[in-house]
Amino acid sequence: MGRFSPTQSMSRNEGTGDHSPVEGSGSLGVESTFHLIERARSGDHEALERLFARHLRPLQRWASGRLPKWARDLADTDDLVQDTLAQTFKNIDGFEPRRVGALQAYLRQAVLNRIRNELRRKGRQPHAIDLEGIEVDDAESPLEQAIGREAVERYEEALQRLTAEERESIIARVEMGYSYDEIAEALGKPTREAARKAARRALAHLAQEMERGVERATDR
Amino acid sequence: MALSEPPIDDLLDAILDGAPIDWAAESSSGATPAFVNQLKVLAAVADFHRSSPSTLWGHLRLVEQIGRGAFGEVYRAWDTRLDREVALKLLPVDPTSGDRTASSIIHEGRLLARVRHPNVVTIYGAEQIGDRVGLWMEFVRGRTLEQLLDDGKGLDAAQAVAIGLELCRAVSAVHDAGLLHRDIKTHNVLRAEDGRIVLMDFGTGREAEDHASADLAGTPLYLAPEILQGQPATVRSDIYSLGVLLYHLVTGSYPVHARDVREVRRAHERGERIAIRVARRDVPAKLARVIERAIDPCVERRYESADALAADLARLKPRPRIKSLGYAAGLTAAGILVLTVGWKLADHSVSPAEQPIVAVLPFQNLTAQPDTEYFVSGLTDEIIRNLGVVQGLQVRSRTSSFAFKDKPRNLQQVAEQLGVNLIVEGSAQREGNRLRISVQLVQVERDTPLWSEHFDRELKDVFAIQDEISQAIASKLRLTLGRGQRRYSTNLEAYEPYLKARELVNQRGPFPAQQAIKFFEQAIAKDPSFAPAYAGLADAYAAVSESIPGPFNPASILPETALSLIGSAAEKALQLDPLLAEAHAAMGLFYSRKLEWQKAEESFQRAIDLNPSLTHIQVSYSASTLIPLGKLTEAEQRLQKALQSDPLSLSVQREFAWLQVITGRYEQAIDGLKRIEAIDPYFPYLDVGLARALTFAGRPVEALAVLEPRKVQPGVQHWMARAYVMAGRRDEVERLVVTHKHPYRLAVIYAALGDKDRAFEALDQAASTVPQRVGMLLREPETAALRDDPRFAAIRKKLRLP
Repeated sequence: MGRFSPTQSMSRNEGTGDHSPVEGSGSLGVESTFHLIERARSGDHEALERLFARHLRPLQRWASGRLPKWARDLADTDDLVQDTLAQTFKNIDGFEPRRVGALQAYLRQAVLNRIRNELRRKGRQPHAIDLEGIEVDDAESPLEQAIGREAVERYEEALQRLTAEERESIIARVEMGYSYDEIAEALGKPTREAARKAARRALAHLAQEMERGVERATDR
Repeated sequence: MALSEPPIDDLLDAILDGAPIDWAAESSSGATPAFVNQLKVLAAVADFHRSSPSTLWGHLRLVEQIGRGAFGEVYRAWDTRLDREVALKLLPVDPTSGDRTASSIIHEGRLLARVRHPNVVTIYGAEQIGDRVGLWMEFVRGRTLEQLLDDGKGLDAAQAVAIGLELCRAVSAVHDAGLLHRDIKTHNVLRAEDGRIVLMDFGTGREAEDHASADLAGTPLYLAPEILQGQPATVRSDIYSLGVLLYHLVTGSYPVHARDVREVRRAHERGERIAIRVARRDVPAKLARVIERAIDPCVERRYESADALAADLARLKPRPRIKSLGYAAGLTAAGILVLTVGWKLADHSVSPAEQPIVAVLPFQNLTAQPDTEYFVSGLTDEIIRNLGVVQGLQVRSRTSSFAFKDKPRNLQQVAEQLGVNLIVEGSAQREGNRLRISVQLVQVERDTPLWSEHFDRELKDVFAIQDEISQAIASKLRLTLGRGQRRYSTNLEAYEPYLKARELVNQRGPFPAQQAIKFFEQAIAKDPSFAPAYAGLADAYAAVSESIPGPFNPASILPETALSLIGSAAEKALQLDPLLAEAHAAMGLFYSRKLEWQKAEESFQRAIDLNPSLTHIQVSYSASTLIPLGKLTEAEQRLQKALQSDPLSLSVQREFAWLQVITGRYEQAIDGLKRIEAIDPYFPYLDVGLARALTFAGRPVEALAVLEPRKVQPGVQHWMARAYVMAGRRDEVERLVVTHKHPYRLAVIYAALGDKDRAFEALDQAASTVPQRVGMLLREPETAALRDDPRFAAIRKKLRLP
């Protein structure tokens, strides 16, 4: 496997049992998102930059799953997300850092809204149809391709009917893949177990809301 | 439906955790099929996000895939805990297979993490999460040596030697940690953007034994003959690979020619090797001998260690010429490093008597508690200061020396980068009331310690120890302590907060400075006679009052308040210690704020006389006094000197680039600012400076591109005004007029619009409220169009400028 390998002489090291986490001095100087928001609100540029850096990449990757390929070609997803983030952070002093999870959900929503606007705008243009007049099959976003447009819509709508905390926990766990420790911090839960419980409840509630969405659709 | 039923909880957990789910079994559980269907959709949503590269792996967020090897994938990732970029190598493991592979990778990762060397990629951690094992490490931007060779530029013998030396250090560090590399080749060595040579492994290699038909991507050609015969890898087989690498660097080919592993083996068995001077005739004979010995098929005749190989390589290389490190050579970190590989090969070197130039490297902190870092940093700082007053000795400044903090270093290399011939290094350990310090003065060229000493004293003796160290070094070099020599005599209760505050002031910016004020005040409370704390306090007040006060900048204080605070602190410092350079510099700052320019000049000159090695004084002199006075040539000379003694300091580099903007050398300034950006994109005031330089270089679109994403930040938009006008977006500027209130910013905006009346009106107001900013603004290109107007002279007069 790895090209570095222990030598014979290494066996003397093995007995010392180095099971400490390998990360060294690092954890000093790490600032919580909460603290960064506070600092950014008071006009600290560096804090703003760091918040930006911390959220930009994940949201860009996330957004690339939500934008159809043709739309991604037209409007660079990365730029779109960066622009949205800049717009959103412009109002950072109006943002109450109630919880870290709230910021994450807030930013995601901002990006999602922006994507929708972009799609609406671009949708009027003939780019969705290729030269031979055949509908381009990549008009769907990767997520839509994976589970179907209707299911995505149902999911997104149901998500909006959850409480803020439920929504935040779903986004953090299901979409962003946060650990329960991180979710506990983001949602202000005392333990990871409490965060897990909250996520479970939220998921069950979400499934119920989606079920209702199906019923409503069939009622129509 | 009862959601609390355990089977449902298990199912929910499985969806949330990405565990496999038997949906057939679930549909027969208590939940309704419609509900289970929605859960299926949710499981698919979760799977989608997990499988997309946006997922987290532990605390690391995968950003992009940068490589794929036989064993796994390599990503550029973001460490969310430490907020830094890392490279992450992910390898799939079967979680059910007894875990052997996983645990051996993790074990290896932990051993590797012990190798701390600037020429070896730093491993940060190793962990198994789910079915993947990850090894994450320093992310190095650069090109592999193989890519450099592919570029076709080729490397000359001197460059190969320089790279070889750095690689020897790297390999030696790996061996010292009890490890073997086993895959040294040009593909696994990067030349980082900063010029550093970094040994790494991105998993592109294959075990030759297992892949008899493997294509020759490099690896088998680098393997020692005994390995091909099935013997285990050793230190000397790594040396062989290193030798092949050097051979390849110099000649572009390999010692054996073969198309697959079998042919390599056969070539070795038949002794079919191409001597290096056959491959390339102009390889210097001595270098050829060294490489031939490294790749000797006979294990015993090969170099026994990387150090032994390094020693022979070093003999091929003359002493670096310190003079070449001057500003003219292009003083960026990258520029300096390029010089290190630019030597000509010579047979031997003779050491002429030279002027002593010393760098004090950050002392290693051997104390267990991490919060003692500031103490040890401060100790190093004080020794740098103390040596600064030794006559006839040049001392490299803090920022440059501290670039080597926490990096195990090779003294030769450090000396080359900093242009010094002497190095002071040491370690400190603080246990309760005891302080143990080891220190040595090394003559770099001969690699011999000229002096070393161990101190084991009480903590309160720290000042005496610092004194003794500088005394000993001065006497060893037959130099005398200059006029500025005096020791700090204070108590520890005052000294500790003082050191903390100094650290913060060095960070610059209003927020750290505001914290620094608190610590300086604590120090003064503990020892009201401690002069340096008052001088520091004056600097900190100046820093917090530099930016424009406003709702976004609560840290700032009003100029008149600042002025009296700076003044009383500086005066107090001077009163307590008339020979303290920092106290005179603080007075200089005070006078410049009071618009008493002649006194400002005198104070700064006195400070520089007393301690010429403090580059932050030169920077502050230039920005606060010389530039407003229009003494641009003198400012340039001083900044060049500062660059020489502090080549890696970004703030000196930034100041120099700014002087170039002021003197109309925009393109040079842009180059300089971009070099800083490459090293630290978040360096304060860099973006605005770069955009302004671009604007006046006639590149407004690029300028706007720099600032557009940052315009949400306060203090940015008015600097865009000129570029907007140039780019034909005047309407944007009209909007700025409405949203901006501060006269300083309005002056800049109106000047951009060409509205001279309003510009002068605003400028006049600004000259009353923020005179500390206007003196500089009058020299900056934004106000160039106003200079012919008689009202301009009136503003200068108001600021008492000639």
